[in-house]
Amino acid sequence: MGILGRVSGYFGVVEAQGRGTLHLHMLMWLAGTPNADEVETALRSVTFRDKIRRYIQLNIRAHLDDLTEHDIKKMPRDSQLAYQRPPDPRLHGWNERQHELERQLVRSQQLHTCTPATCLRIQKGRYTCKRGAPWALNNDDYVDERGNWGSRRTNGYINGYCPLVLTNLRCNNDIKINTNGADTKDVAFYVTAYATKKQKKSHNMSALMASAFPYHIANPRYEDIRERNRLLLYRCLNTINREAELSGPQVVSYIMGYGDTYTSHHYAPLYTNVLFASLKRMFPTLADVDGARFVVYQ
Amino acid sequence: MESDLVQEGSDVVPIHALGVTDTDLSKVSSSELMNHALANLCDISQEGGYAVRHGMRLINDFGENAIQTGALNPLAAAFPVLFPYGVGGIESERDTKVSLRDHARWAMQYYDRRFATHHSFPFIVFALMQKREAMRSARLQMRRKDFEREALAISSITLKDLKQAEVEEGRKKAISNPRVRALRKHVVAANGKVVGSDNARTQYRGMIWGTCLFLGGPTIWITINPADIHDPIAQVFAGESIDMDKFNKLLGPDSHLRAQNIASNPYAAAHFFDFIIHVMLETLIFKVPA
Repeated sequence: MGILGRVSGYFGVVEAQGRGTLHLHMLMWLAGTPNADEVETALRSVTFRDKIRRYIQLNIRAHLDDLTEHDIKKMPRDSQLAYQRPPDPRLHGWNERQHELERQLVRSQQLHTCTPATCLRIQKGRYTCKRGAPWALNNDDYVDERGNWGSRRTNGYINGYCPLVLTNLRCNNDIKINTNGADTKDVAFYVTAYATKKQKKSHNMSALMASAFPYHIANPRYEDIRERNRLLLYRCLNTINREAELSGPQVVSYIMGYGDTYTSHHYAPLYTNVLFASLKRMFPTLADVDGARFVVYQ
Repeated sequence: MESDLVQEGSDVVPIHALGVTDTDLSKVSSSELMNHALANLCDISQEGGYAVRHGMRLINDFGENAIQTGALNPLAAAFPVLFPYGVGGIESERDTKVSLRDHARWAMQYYDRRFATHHSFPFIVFALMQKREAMRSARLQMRRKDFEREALAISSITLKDLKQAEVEEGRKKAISNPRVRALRKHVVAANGKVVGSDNARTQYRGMIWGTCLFLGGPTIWITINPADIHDPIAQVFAGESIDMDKFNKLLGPDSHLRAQNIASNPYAAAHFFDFIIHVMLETLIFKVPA
């Protein structure tokens, strides 16, 4: 049992920022949550919605009573708050110290500022924040029967955060819940694609293979056709991988074996080729799976 | 996220070294390589220049067979500043065999931090690791039945076919040429086994979907940006001596030096990240004392 409840699984993917610093996107599965079929009924019950609201109250905050617009203007941004230890819970006055640290951290780490260099993109002729700021204001933490939810927010530029992650790690974070409503599949698909999106600009793989090709033709090594193809394959791999831009910390993570994921479970590949082949034989109308497999995904 | 990080440390913007390595050396001229080697040599030492004439023969990047072939150890020869006198190179001849991976890990943790703080050594070693995995993976791919079946198709690919596929891919269209499709299939499959490749990362999607089948839809989506520059733990990993029991924020490295410590030492940054995520999972997510 931890600050977010009983977690039955997690899958985190590490990414590098433009500056090279690492950050983590993590999906978590809580134990004992209703599945997609049960959730519709559950959300109709006031008790269940209250439970979610209490969860939001504890874990997803976007407002502090003693951090008003006036306070924010008065407080300077302190980017060095991380250079300290979290308040010691064994000492007297922990609550006060913890709260004051949270206040300062929200001011310095969770207040979003839109700039053209970072998040502003032109959409329909006007600048729009790609992260959606200013976010919706809410008088209170809420969840409705359809599973829409929100945290109390009085300043549209305060990014929702997990309070105990904020104060213990003294760093920017962002947390959202998925109420398993009708749009679960969309959310799951979106975050899956987002968490595992290609690093930096996605390269045109055919272009890279084309650039490896003249060298391959000019430097033949083997008579055997399979060996020659293997060498082509190897040269393509090298051409593709050398174009990937990785930061120093990413490279060292791979060298050290830290890798780029944090997972609660182990995974084994399922070889579906034989299955798909027999399905194709049984149902010839499925036959163009092969073509679809090479659709270019963004 | 991006914007928040750009704001952080308003007066100091540290840049980690970013590298692109030409793993198969087909695009870098030998004089360029020589320049890099000389730059490596002059990196820290104040000794002044050397007139070094380079040999005409390329050095194989396999350190293991170097002695038999009469060649030099590739990494020791390329980084004289890291391997003085050219001895102790990775995969050089020794009584107990040490793998590229183990030796690289040892180097990153070496006490004087010269390997970790070298501006290109970690990138070159990583590129070498990727290249070895690509080689192993291509060999495994070759043993597959469909590779044999499609051998003729793949070997008859022309540059024109690939250029056509390039245009189609650029327009986000399906690739029409079946020969190119076959090659791509094998490239994607083989690259999936290469550490740090985009194709390896896209496999995580399948794992996440698998988890959804197993546990249902995910409940929480959290993003964490650990503050590597200013966290005192990261500074300890970078070699600063900070008394964490009697921590005093007025002592120790100032903000400028902290940023420098982290930007110049990717091992400290990576070590800190891995450490803090594990600690968070262990103490906050799984066991909160009552």
